[in-house]
Amino acid sequence: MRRLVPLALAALWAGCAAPKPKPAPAASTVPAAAQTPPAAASPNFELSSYEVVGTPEEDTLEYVQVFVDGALQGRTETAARSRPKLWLGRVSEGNHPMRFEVWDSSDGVSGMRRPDDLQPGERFFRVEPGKKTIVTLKFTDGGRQSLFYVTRD
Amino acid sequence: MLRRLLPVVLSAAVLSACSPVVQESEPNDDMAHASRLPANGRAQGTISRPDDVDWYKVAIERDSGVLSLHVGGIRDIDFVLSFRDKTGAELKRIDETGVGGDEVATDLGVSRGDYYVVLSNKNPAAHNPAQKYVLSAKLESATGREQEPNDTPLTANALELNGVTRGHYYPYTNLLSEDPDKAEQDWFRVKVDRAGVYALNLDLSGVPNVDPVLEVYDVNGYKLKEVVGGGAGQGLTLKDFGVRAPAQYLLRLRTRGPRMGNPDVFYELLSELRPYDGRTELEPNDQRDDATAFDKESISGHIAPAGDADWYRVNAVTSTRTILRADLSAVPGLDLILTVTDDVGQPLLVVDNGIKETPEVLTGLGLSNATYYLVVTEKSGKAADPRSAYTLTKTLTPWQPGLEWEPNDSSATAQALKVGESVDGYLAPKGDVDFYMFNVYQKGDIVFDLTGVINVRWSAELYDQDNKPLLAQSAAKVGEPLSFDRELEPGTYWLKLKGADSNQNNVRDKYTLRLKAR
Repeated sequence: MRRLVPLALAALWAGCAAPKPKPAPAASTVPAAAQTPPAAASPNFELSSYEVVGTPEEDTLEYVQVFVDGALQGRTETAARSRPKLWLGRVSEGNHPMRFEVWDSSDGVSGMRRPDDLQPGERFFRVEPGKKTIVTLKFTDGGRQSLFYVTRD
Repeated sequence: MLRRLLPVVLSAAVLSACSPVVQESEPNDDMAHASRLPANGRAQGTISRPDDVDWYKVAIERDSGVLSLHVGGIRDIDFVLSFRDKTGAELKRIDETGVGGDEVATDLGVSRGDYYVVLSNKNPAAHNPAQKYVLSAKLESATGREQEPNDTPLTANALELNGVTRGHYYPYTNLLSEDPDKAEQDWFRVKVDRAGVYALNLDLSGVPNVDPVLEVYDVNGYKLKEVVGGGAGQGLTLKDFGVRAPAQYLLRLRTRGPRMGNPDVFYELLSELRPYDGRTELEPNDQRDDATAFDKESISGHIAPAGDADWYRVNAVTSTRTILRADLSAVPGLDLILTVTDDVGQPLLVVDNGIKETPEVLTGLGLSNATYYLVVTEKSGKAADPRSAYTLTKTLTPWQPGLEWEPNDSSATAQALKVGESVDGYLAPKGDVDFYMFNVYQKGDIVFDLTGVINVRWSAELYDQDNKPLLAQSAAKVGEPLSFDRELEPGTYWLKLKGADSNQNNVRDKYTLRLKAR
């Protein structure tokens, strides 16, 4: 019995430390603020996304989700389209296909994914050892045109 | 010309022979003592001394008309002919000839009442007290006639719409202007009260010795359009001038050079005002703000005057991805250029594939905004024959996967393509370059297959995601396909397609590019 107590405690501890992952709720039903992940420690990848808008009325709220190797890694804060929105993350070294999904957030809380033809295509970005990869994503033409600028620190 | 003039000359001769002749009764040196001049008759008199002035009163007994005056030149006398209203205010002064010359006043607008004709002499050494001069007057209907004085916007004549107006480029100079060298000009007012959009066409006949200029002004005096004739003796045409009624415009008709005129041959200004049907340009459409709405499938226009630029506004549906295609027909003697601009007028594409007298084709442009402009210009700055219109046809078709999406002329605007897929596109217009971007997810041999098109010798370049060139391939000959392969690591790549010579293009045949993994 005494031998079993540590095992039970260990099981209990393991249960607390590593809860079962729940399926991710649909972004459109979850408050945007709740979806903002904590900033990664010592990030080596930075996304800065902004849009060129024609009028103040078009400068609505949005955020960008970041997918690396097909998996959602996080998202930027919710902010006006014209304001640069940042995501800082830790990505393993190597060449990774990445996708940046734009979500409109009319009320600053919920989100609505933009149609496919307004999303930038997936492409590879190389993360090099000891360097920070900085990707600037600029949208023009009402979001139809997306331009990437890649620099490394 | 003689045939046209002969009846006029003969009838004038018969009329003058039959018309009553009166003698001046001196003293007739002022308005109060004016002699009578029949509105359709002649008067005889003498210039008894160099400063003799002869006044004649013309009584008009109809509501409106145009009066012509003629005084035959006599020895030593340099006539000045002056036409005045009932108060004595001078309406027109003619002094176009020297000593012994005739003076002619044409198209003097009159209405019921008295007018005065004053004859004087400019030669201080004149001495011919005995010889009689003959002063003739002729009154005609004012319908379809210019009515002088109409030398300023304020005195502009109402233009008879859908009819002909006749007038003369005469006298050469307007002696009543503050600038005595100012050339004669005729102003007409175009007034359309009934609300709507109309196209106004004007056709001005040629007159010997006259190189005409026709200008259109708005009521604020801003010049909207200027049409210049093709030289002395040539007429001119203004086609499809847009009238957004109710509206009022002013036309100024003048000569291009000094001392151009013709008292014997009248000009004919033919006007046509028709409701706008959307099938023609509406001048002035020389800039973006004045662009003609291009809503129907096709529209026609004229390159006139020389250097004309015709702007057309194309409205696109932004909810679906749409491709714009445009065909511009050829015009005799001209080398047309078609330019596509964005909503603020920045050129996106210049289509100048063909040589003179060949059509131009915009093979396809992906529309992502609500408004675009098509601009038709001529390369050498020539004007078209007024009878030669171009036709601009447009097609808006939904984009489908597998079709090229222009502009894709740089790596920044490259069109995404997946390995295993194909795309159909045009290498056009002249100088076109097409970029495609694709991802390789697993290391492998990628095969690039490109079909041949007439007039193009393919050149292909492959770049990695850091813009490092990896490969350059060219087809052996013009019109031949190009096929090559390359082992690629996972990553993003760009393929650049172009002609070996930047002049090579093909607006007729699509190419097909296929990427395969092997």
